[in-house]
Order: sequence, then structure tokens, then C-alpha cells
Amino acid sequence: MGMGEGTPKRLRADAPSRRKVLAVAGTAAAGVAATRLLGLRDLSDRAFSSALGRTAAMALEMAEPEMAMDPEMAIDPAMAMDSAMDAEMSAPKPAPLAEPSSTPASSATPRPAPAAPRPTAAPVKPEPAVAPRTLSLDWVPPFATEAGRVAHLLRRTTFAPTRAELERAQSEGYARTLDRLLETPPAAPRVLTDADARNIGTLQTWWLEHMIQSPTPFAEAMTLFWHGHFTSDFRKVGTGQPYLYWQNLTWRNLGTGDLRTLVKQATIDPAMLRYLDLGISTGRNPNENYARELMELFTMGAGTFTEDDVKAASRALAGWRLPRANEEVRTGVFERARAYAGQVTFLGKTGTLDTDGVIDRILANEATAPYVVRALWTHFVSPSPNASAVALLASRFKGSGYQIKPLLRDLFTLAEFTSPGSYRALVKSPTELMVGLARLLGASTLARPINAAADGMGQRLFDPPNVSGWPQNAGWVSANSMIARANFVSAALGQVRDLPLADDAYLRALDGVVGPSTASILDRTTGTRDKWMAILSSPEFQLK
Amino acid sequence: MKTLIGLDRIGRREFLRNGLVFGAGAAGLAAGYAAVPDSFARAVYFAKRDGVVNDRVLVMIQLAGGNDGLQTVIPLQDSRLRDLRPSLGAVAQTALPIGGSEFGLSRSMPGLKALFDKGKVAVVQGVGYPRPNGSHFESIRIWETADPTQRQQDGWMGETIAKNYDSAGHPLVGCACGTTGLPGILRDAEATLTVVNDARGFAFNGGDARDRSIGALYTNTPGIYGALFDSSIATARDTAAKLRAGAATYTPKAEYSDNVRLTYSSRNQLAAALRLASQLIVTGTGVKLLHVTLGGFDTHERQMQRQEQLLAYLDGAVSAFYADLAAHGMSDRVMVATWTEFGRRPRENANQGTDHGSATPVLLIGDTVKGGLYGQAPSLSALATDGNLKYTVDFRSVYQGILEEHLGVDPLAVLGQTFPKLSFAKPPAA
Repeated sequence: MGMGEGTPKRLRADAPSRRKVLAVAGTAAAGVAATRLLGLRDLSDRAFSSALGRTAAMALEMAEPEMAMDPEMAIDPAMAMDSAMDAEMSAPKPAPLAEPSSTPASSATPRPAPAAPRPTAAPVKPEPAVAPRTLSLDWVPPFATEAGRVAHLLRRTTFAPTRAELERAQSEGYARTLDRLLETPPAAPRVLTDADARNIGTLQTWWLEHMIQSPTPFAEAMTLFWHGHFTSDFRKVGTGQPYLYWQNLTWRNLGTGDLRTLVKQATIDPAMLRYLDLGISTGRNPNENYARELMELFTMGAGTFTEDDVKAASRALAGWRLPRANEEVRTGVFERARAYAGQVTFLGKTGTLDTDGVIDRILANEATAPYVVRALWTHFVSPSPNASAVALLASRFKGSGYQIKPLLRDLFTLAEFTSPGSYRALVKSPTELMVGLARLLGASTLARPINAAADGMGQRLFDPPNVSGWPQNAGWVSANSMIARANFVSAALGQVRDLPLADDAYLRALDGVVGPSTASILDRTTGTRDKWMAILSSPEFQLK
Repeated sequence: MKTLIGLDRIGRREFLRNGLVFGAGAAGLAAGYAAVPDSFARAVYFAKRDGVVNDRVLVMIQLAGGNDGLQTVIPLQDSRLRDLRPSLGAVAQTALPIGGSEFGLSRSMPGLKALFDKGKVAVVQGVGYPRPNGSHFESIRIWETADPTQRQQDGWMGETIAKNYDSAGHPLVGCACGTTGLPGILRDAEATLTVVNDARGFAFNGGDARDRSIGALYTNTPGIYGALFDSSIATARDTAAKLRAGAATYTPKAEYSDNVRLTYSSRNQLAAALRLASQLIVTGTGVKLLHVTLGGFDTHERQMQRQEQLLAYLDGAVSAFYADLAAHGMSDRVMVATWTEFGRRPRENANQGTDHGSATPVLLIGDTVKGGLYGQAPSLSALATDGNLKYTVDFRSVYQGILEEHLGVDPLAVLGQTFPKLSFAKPPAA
């Protein structure tokens, strides 16, 4: 279907735009579909129907005459309804986003498998015979327009865009926005004094403030990703030394570089040396803690190595200790006397190995690139990576010498990234939710309230539940966490003095794509604070 | 028998209101609203006929990180312990003997020692499974799903709820206390359950209006998380209402104190979680299966003191929980059981710690327990080739005993096969 690319100048938030029209039409279409289903379920609701009527009318009003004439503008309700009923069949496909030669997206990646109804579960038991999609309403992804895709990219990479960021990206377009996200060096956070760096509360709010205010929020999103991947917690690391502050700076500095450097730095990072005990391991009496998690959680994945590999790697990695105060380094220090000089058999080969050798062997292993690709995919793209696309991206990743930036470019230019199955397919972590809210509201003062609310939602920074980091998606959703989320919204709105007008918040925060219940509530809500309350509490806003 | 949990007290209307239970939106919709009352009636009928309606409650305590069995239930007369553990083996000298002179509990568990002496504690030794998995997360999943082949995805507690109590149709049948997310052991799309981190503050701020508007926002939510969102919100509202009603009538009759000095894990609110569990039980919410977690057992270094602090905290919290229930006249229906993903290696490492092991003891505590030693302690002289203990009791034998004897439900429906019987529990009154 030939949905056209919007011309950037027309896609401004202050004028009715193709995106707006399409999105609203989409909502209306969802409503039509809904009515059909509601008929089946005999659950018709008068207020709901009238809200739909109004939304559909808005869609028509907002369509500028010349745009409505435009054959590319598909606001034919029947057509839109079809796409709501069967999004995969008729939702418009985005145009290729990069040159075929430089991206795997154009030909090699087949259509994604439909998103699993229960994303956390391993696909073992057969799913219910009736797929939810055929029974519930789908949001209509706004991916037909470049503006919709740009908004999606920013939501996935910047927590949520500020008004200025959104407007700039809309005028620049997808490709230039992606370039800028990937190529702009991370803005450095405020330098902390030693005392502040060793105060966990200060350290947490310092990072949250930077997430909210940084001009390079993608660097913070990547730092948060690596913090969850190569994780460490302050309870074991302690606060006698500024190790977690250093570790945070390391993830920011190296987060889009190459995996080899990152894994090496993770291995000899002082916080990690303490967290997983490599700093006290010796060749004579190796401690297995780091060696196991290096393979299982950081690089290769469970089931790809043996217990003997754990023992061998723990010998080969030994020799590092924490730096002493007078050494003025921010990494571990290697002492040959503590290391193991003999041969080990590791991942099928026998010989003498040092730390670099272990990492080389891990990076040569066929499990590593797919594992890391999958980790990034499930964080940024969708909960159900497409196996053949993972394989392709993994081979490109390995082939590039494990360069992370090109891998990210691949992920964000994949057809899957802007396919219907990826729309609202990821649940925001508490940090993403709260920092995104602060950025949307332009509220730089929320770092402390965010930090105070984090524990109740299950994500205190520098304090993951265990060495596998934080859960994802459905793992964030429980009766408890939904209360915590809603209560954070009301607390935050109570603290922000100058709330921005909520007039276009529905578009800016929710793409203008909402389900019938949210539409109905928004229609009935007046007043800036109440509107923001409904928008930020909505199920749509919990998703990225 | 005291007040039954109330299959009979839960009206059809309440069930319908909560009919879209945790994660079951698709199935619920597929079945159609009209079909629900019939299946509800049928389920109640079967549940009653099968004798599932009793007042038994189960509390599972996860000792996360891999609890060292040899510094929990200590062999007192095996000289190999000192050989394998030059520093950690010293605990044998201070242990509190149980059931004779061969084994003792760590000195940091005087409360459980006292309960053992009263016949309220069963110790099952050597619990594990074939081909032990050294990964925390894989072994946790194995214990959670009761499946060493890692094909199952539902947690055995969740499945127990789904197969036996789901028809009660209210969210407090199962509850994870003291955590923000649902643990895998309770996961089952068909199970009704809730998660309460802290009973204080478990309500939508802004009163009834906010509570209702949140409910309205989360109705027929689209997308792959729609049913999960909607059921979580519905569960949250119901749970909040029940907690509000119960909080006024519950006063703890024992001292619960959280150990703020325990900094090894973010999950060290065990006492508060058990206090919440007690509130849910004592106030008659109908809760049947509860789960709480104490973390910090991954003792790769300097294990001695850390393990003793953790066990002392466990001991204090469980003792308070038992005393509280007893004072409320409810201890005769509640069993507490510990679980952990694996024990630790018999040989200590150079950091006075231990690496990941295999078999480990399970402790079962309560009036429904037939106290004593069960299973067989693995030999320290005949270790497996990886230097770990050889298990003597399949962990599913323990689950089977809990399900069949304590809860009085069909273990086969949850475990899929039958295991050697361990009779450590007194069956519920017929």
C-alpha cells in the first residue's frame, strides 16, 4: 500500500497533520472494530459509542480538504477498520529506511512472527487456540507516516522526547534523527565529589537528573541498558569507594563502542570485581562467580557452556585485584603472582589463557553475537526477536568486530522495528516511565520524587534484584506495580508547578492512538492537570 | 475446623466482576461471558466433591542465591566436614543438635530448634534433582516449575491455584508478599493471585474517584499486554479493598523486626512480608498460597558470618510468624516451607566462601507438620565428580507431600507424575 512520506514542514504539531489525521482516523477505526466486537460480546456502552462518534468526527474535521483528496490519504473508515481488524494484513508497511546494501532490512528479514500473547513465557505449552488479537481491539500503529515512525524511534531511545526534541526530529526526518542519536557523543553528567559519589541516594538522583536534562538522552538509555546487563549493586559493592560512580561513567563512555572493550572493562571494573568476586579470585583458588555470569548473563547465554568451562574460565580470569588508593586508576590491577600459569581447556580448546584470551574465545563463540543481539532487540525492538533476523544481525555484528553502533543502526532500521507487531510491544521500565514523564512535562525537579517512588515499582538504580538485572515487559506488571505507577503520576502532577498545556498532549504523549476506554476518559476530562493525569496513567503511556 | 475459606462466601456476582483473572483475558473472552457462571458452578462442585475445601494455607519462603545446607543443617559427627571446610566447618562445634546427635541446626536458629523440639519442624535432607544445574536462574526456574527438563513454564504454586482454587475467583487466593513483581513460582495464566509489596500505601491515592477512573481507563485495553494490564488493575482495586477492610481488625501478636543491617540483598524485608502474610491469613481474606523471599545466600566469600546473620534473621521472622498465628488460633492450618535453587559446594573456596552446589535441605514448619528428620543426608565421602553432593530426595517428593498431605489436593495434576512419598504433614480433617 503506497502510503506517502510526509513532507517534514507540514508535520508540525501546531497544524493538523497527516499524522494527526491518520492517527485519529485510526482511533475511530479501532472504535468501529470495537463496536463490532462489542456487539458480539453484548457489552455495548453508550458513553463509549458517543466518544467514538466524536473521535471519528474530529478525524474528518481535521482532515484538510486538499489532504482529504489526496489519494494517499487512507481515511476511508472501512479500509482503516480492516487494518484494525487485521493489522498484519493491511497495515501499511514502512518504506525501506536505508540503502539495501547497508541494511539487512530490505530483503533478508521476513515478516515478524505475531507477538506472543504472553511475552515472558517460553514458547512451550501451546497457546490458547483463540489468539487475543482476533478478540480484542488493536491500536492502529501510526507507522504509515514518517512522523509516526520518528515518534516511535524517540520513545524507544530517549525515554520520551521533550517538545523541542520531538519538533526537531519531526522536521529532520527519521534518517537524520537516527544519525544524530547515534553519532552525537554523550553529554557528560555533572562531576561528583568523592563524598557525593559514595552516597547512594545522591548518586541515584544525580543520574536521574542527568537522564531528565541531558541533551543526549539516548546515551542515558544505553547507559541504563548496560547497567541492567553488566549489572552490579551497591549492597555488595558497598559505598566505601566511588566504584559505582566510575562504573556508570564507563557504561556511558563505552556504551556504543565495541563489545570487546566493553566486556574487558566490565571484567576489570572495580565495582564488578567486588560484585562478582573476581577481585578476590586467585589462580590457585579460583572463585567461580564472575566466570559463570560472564558467560551465562553477559555474553553467551545459559546452556552454551559446561560446568568445566566455568571452572577453566575462573582459573584463567584470576589475577585481578581492586586498585589501591595511591594507584590512581579506575580499573582493577593485575598481579601475575595471583594468576594461573598452567593450561586450561576452555570452550573446546586447551592452552594457556589470560583475561584477554578468555574474552577472545568468548567472542569467537557462535553463541555470543546472537545473545547480545537478542538482549538489545528485546530491549529496543520487540519481546519476540525474529530468529532469522537475529542471525543476520549477529553475523553483521560479529563481522564488524563487534561494533555496537552499527548494530544499533541495524536494529533501528529493521523492518521489524516499525512493524505493527512492535508497536507498544514493550512495557516501560519504572525508570523509563518516570524519566519520560519528567521529560514530557519539562519538569527537571522530579529526580528526587522519582527516586523515592522507584523502590515501590521495583527499579532502584544501582540496586537490581539480582545479577540478571531487572525484569522486562510483563515482569513489570503486577497489582502492586500498577498502583505504584498510578500513584507516582498523581504525586508528580501534584509537585510540578507549571504544567505545560495538555491540548496536544494526547498527540505528543500517546501518538493520538488510544483505545476506546482511554478515548472515552479523555473526552470527558477537562482541565490541564486532570488531562495529564489521565494521559500519564493510561495503559498506552505504560508502553514504549 | 475454623471458618472455611470461602468458596461458599464468594458470590457469583463477585466472581463475575473479577472473572477476567490474571492474564486470562483471552481465555475469558473466548469462553464468553455467558459461559462463565456454568463453569463457575461446575468448578465449585468439583472442588467440593474432591474435598479441596479446607482451611489449609501454605507459605513458601525462597532463600534466594543458593542456601548452604552444610551451614544450615550441619552434620556433627562427620570428620570430612572439617577436611572440606577448614574454616567454615567450625560451625559443627556450636550447632544445636536436633533429633539425636548426628545433625544440628546452625546456632543462629534457636527459634527453629525450639520448634523442632516441639515436633513442629520437619527437615528433609539431600533434596535436589538429577543433573544439577549450576545457574541460579535455570535452577530457580526448575524449582519454580517443578520441572528439571525446563519445558514447563507455569510455576507449581500458580498451577496449584489454577487447578484447585481458581474457581473461588477472587484475587487473594495466592499472594506474593514483600515484592513488587510476580515470582515465577506463582505464574500461571489461569491463577487468581496478587502481589503486595507493602500493605501500607496499597491503594490508589486520590480516593474512590481515582480508584474508579483508573478502573475505567483499564477496561478492554488493546494490545498484547491488555488483558494483563486490566486484570492487574482489577486485582489491585480488589486487593486494596480487602486490605483496607482487614487492616483495622489485625493486630500482630508477636514482634516482627526487619533486620536493617542485612545489606546483602534488596530482598531483606522478610519479617514485614511475613507480617503481611499473617494479616492476610488472620483477617480471613481466603488466602491459600503465599510466597515470600529472603535474598543474599549467594555466599561466594566470607560465608560464615553472613550466613549466620541470614539464618538468624530467617529464624526470628519465622518464629514471630508462628507465634503470631498461634496467638490468633490459626497456626493449626498454616505450613511454612523453605526452598532454594541449590545448596553450595562442600569444599570451601579460598575466600572462606562456597561456590554453587547441588543438594540442600528443605525445612517445613508448623502445626500441620510431623516433626523430625526425613530423607538422607548426602555423603561427604562420596561426592559427585564435580565435587558436589549427590541428592537423595527428588525436590518434587517434597512438593508432593505438601500438596497431598498438607493442602489436600491432587499432586498428580500439578506435578504430572508420582514421586516417592514423604509423610511429613498431617492431612486436613475430612
